Amino acid sequence: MKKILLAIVLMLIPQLVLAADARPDRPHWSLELKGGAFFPNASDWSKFYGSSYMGEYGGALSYKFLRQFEAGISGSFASASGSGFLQSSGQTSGNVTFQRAPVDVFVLARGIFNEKQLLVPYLGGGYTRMFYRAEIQDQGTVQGSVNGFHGRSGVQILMDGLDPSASESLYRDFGVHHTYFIMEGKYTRAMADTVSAGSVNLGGISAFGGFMFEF
Amino acid sequence: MKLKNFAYLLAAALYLTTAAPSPALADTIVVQRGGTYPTIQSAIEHVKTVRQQPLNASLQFTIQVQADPAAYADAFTPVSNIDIVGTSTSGTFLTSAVTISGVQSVTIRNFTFKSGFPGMAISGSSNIEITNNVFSNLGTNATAISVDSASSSVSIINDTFASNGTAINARGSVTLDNDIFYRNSTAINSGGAVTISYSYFFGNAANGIADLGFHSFPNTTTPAADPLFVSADGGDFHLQSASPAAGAGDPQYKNSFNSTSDIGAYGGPNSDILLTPITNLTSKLLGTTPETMELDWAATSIATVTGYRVYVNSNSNVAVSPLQSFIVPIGTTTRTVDNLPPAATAPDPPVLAAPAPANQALQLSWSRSPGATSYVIYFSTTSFDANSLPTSPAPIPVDVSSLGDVLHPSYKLANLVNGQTYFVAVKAVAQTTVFAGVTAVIDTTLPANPGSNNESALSNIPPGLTIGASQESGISGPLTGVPEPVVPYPNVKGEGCFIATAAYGCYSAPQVQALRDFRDRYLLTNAPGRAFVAWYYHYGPIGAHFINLHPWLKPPVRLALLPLVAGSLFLLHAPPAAKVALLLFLIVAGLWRVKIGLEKKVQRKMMLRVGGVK
Repeated sequence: MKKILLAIVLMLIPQLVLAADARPDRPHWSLELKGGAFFPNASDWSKFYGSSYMGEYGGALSYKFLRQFEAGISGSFASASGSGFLQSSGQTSGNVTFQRAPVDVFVLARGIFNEKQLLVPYLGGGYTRMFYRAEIQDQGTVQGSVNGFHGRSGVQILMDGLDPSASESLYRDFGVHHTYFIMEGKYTRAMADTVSAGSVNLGGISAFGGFMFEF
Repeated sequence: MKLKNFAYLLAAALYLTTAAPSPALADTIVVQRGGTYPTIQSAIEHVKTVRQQPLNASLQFTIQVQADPAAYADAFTPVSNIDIVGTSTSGTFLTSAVTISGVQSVTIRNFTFKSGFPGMAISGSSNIEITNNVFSNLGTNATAISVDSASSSVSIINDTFASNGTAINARGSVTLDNDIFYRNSTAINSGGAVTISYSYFFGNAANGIADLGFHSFPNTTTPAADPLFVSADGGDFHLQSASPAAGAGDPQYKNSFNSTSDIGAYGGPNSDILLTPITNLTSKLLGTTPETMELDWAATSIATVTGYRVYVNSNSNVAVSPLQSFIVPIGTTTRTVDNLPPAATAPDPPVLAAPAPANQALQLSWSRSPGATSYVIYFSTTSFDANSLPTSPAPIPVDVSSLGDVLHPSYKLANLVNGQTYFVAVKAVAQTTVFAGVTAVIDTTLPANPGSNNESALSNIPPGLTIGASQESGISGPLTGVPEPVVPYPNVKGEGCFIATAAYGCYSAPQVQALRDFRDRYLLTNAPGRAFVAWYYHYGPIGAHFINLHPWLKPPVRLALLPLVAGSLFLLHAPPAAKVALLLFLIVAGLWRVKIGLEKKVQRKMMLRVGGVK
């Protein structure tokens, strides 16, 4: 365990071997494209939709005030098709498509100390506006949006060193300073009213993988 | 192996698998509007590309042009060793210019070149075959095919030239066989070595040549006669059965559908077959015992048809597992059919399962009754039995053909009222019904196959004829069911129906959120609170609707809600000590208020005692 921790710490140290020509400017923007799985907080999800998770895809755009601090907006989308139920008996019935699309405004802190740092941990969170839509076949649609919050954390893995020449080309042709592979966990809480005089958390846990481009 | 060499090998392998055009080994390219190759020229360009590979240089290609009601209008220039073939003469139209120049071994087959086609120009080429094409209505100044003196071995076989300027302008070596020249300004303008045989000339302003050729028409024994197209004015150049050009062609070019040789575009081994369905089929029962049925239909005018195939079945899909199927020879257009199925007997009653509720509907399912040809569903909001079947709402007849071949047919009883109890019953009905259809057949020895090259599509299907009375089973049921809406999971509400939402204008306003959180934390956790919420959920939307209708009410309602919102925020977010302090403050303030009140009361009483006034 100690060796693993030591290795991680070493990876946080600037990668001198990957040293390249110093660039005159620093990136201020970043674009994330990511996909993964969303595990809903609602307890009976798999009973009605056949699985305890669903695919979620999204992206984020943020501005970096400092290399260690940024703020931005992100959005994602997840959809599941399954059945609904009958209020009287509780038995499953009909065909229902449930969609959720959280839009987040976030601040994020990154543990970056050098442009060549291989692993960059980060932690953030912020406001969430959760849009939801339940379409019941041959019956109608229920839709709305509620407020909530989210927290997210993960690690960004610098990929420039895999192919320095490609990295240099990306910078020269498109202004992309760095490309990171990201792995992220996210918790969202957004309470929506239920018809039966209660509320339900439309959030849950998301696990993402994707790429981030700094420019 | 060094890493660098391995990388080169890998790159080479990748190049070989991805750089080589994948269709290189295919010898047929399909041209289809909206497809990969939308024009004939685009397919030819692909052929050129493929042949740039040394191994493919001599590959023979067929470009198959899919039939399309709209004409292909883009000009094309064939390359050598290529067949350009329409999928049917009568369905593949060209108005594009065709330039065949300096090439060898090219076939143009199965097209209709129609008005707008500027002509086909053949120059400096050899081994060119133009077969089974129709060239019609190109205009009085147009020449359908021009062959220059530098071309050789040009074969024009089984083509029909109708109502053009000059059909063929031949300067090179040209062979004409089995062609029809019909009402052209000039049939053949010959200045080269033209060989003609088995061709048919009628109604041309000038045939252009003195010798019409070996076995051509008219000749010394056969005078000129109309070739009897199905509809020359309508553009259908198939031969009628009585056409003098039918079976009069070159014996070396047998028809694709029989052993004779027809002259014109719809004869010879590559002719397409378009069999017009039989029309005017009628059927009637003759009232005999056992019952027989008489069929009558209109005769076909297609020369190649040698018989009719009659289909008899118990449903309107007469050709699918028919009860009877037999051939009637050409020349006969009426037929009596016997051995029809007997009248039906009463089927067993079906067994109805408990109706499954759905939104404004009940999903019914029952066991199949052998022999049933339909079912009748009875439903009512009041109870009934076999002796008092409801007539309103009207019973619903359901044909077995609409239910599928399943052991447990099902039916969705729709347009019901949610929450209403319905009584439902079903019974089976058996009725013997016969349907009939007729097709035109070229080769009657081949298996039945309506819509094929050998057999036309089915004729019109007359209404079914019923044999005997219908027989009904007893009813199954009635059973009850209550339609109800499907609820999604999670059962979230749509937004915007409550007073606070209406007053603040937004479901997610912080004030509304505070009240919602207060509800979840302080009201839904106890019975009186839940009762209040239930009451409010019932009447809240009424108030919200009223506020939405009178927007001027929103500010005062917001003002009225302010203490509730402030109280909710305090209770939700204040630390426990603050809540205790506030509680103590309220108690003290209340006691102080009571004390002041009591003092004032005592003071007033004392003033009254000393003779003061109230």
